[in-house]
Amino acid sequence: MKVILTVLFFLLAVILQTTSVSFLAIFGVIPNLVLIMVLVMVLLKGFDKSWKYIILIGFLLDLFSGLPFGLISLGLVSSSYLIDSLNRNVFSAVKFWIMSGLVALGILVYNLFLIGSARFFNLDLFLNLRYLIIEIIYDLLFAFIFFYVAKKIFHKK
Amino acid sequence: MKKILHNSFIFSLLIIFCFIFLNYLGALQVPKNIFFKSTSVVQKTIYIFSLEISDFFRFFSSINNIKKENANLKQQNTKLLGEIVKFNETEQENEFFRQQMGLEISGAEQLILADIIGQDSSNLGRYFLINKGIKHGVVKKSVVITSGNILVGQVSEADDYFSKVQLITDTNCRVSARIQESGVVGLIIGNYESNLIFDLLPREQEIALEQTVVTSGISGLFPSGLFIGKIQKVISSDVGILQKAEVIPLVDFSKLQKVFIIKK
Repeated sequence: MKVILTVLFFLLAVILQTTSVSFLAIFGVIPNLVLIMVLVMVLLKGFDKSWKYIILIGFLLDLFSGLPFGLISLGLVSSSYLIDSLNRNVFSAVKFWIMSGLVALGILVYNLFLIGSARFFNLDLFLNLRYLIIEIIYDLLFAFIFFYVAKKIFHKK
Repeated sequence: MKKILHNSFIFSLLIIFCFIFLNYLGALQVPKNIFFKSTSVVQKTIYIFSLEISDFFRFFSSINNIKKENANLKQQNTKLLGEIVKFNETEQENEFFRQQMGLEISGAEQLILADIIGQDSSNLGRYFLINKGIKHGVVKKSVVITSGNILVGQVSEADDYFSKVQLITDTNCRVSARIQESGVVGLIIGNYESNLIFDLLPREQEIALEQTVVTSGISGLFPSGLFIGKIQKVISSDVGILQKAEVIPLVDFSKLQKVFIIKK
């Protein structure tokens, strides 16, 4: 039952991301709420417990994306695995500033992965620093909200 | 081997590559159609609802400009009415000459009306998902327009019941275009910013602001004469033989709800 509810929750999150979130654009940048949700989930639950959901979310996002199929899934898995490894091996507890740094790193890695891998498909995605900085700041605002809501739900100290 | 499969990272990568392979073989077509068909109603409802809420807030934030804008629109309307009369007369003359010369009168293109039900989730691509696909006559590379013959983009992927539309603002979109007033030809390139880049313009040609940019039809991908936008800024340097311009699109992509696909 819990699994079904979680799957439905993520399905709704993906639908909202691809329909409503674009209207929250600031300076032409839309927040990537699903990516934030995945990164926060990985920080709280760990990659080993959340990889199945990450693949599902990635698959759903790939269906909506104009990028070659699979790139978003690979980007999500790579960025979340990286921040989980850093979180487990370098930091002892998930604190506010650690969470901010890791989420920002996750967003950066995700975007760089998409830009880099798109080159293999002869796609011209280029790094727009202004956009990337706005996206990181904007996404972090949502990450703080998700982080505290998720902490309350999972009762994690 | 067992150790590798127990590593969740490697295992998840293997699953994704399996999905990519299955998609390449076309085996994911059925699940994709089932997913989009079962969620399209929800998606369409949420999309329209979000659009309305967004319009509501935009209305309040722009209330000061409305009076000024209204006066401008009235003035523009009068001017356009005059132009319509002139165009109608020209059209009649054209038809008459065509008949005289024994030429075929070009028929209206067949259009397919589609609803936008989703957008790309990332900031890197500019794509729309529409609720019409191969079964409705949409094919890859079909041209997508909106009312007023304004170019929106091109179908980049067509499934049975759904298609993805690459917008002209996408960084990978290239449209051969010309300035309507002077006939100068160049290449429209999508940009991360809201404006488009009009590249490869000869430097010796004078480009004026507010000139209209339309498709040239040279590449054969887009029919000639579809509106793209107006020139907002000319970027020319002393070196090089070419110059660029910034073009503001005639359509606000964030407000689009319905589009037309030109049937091939």
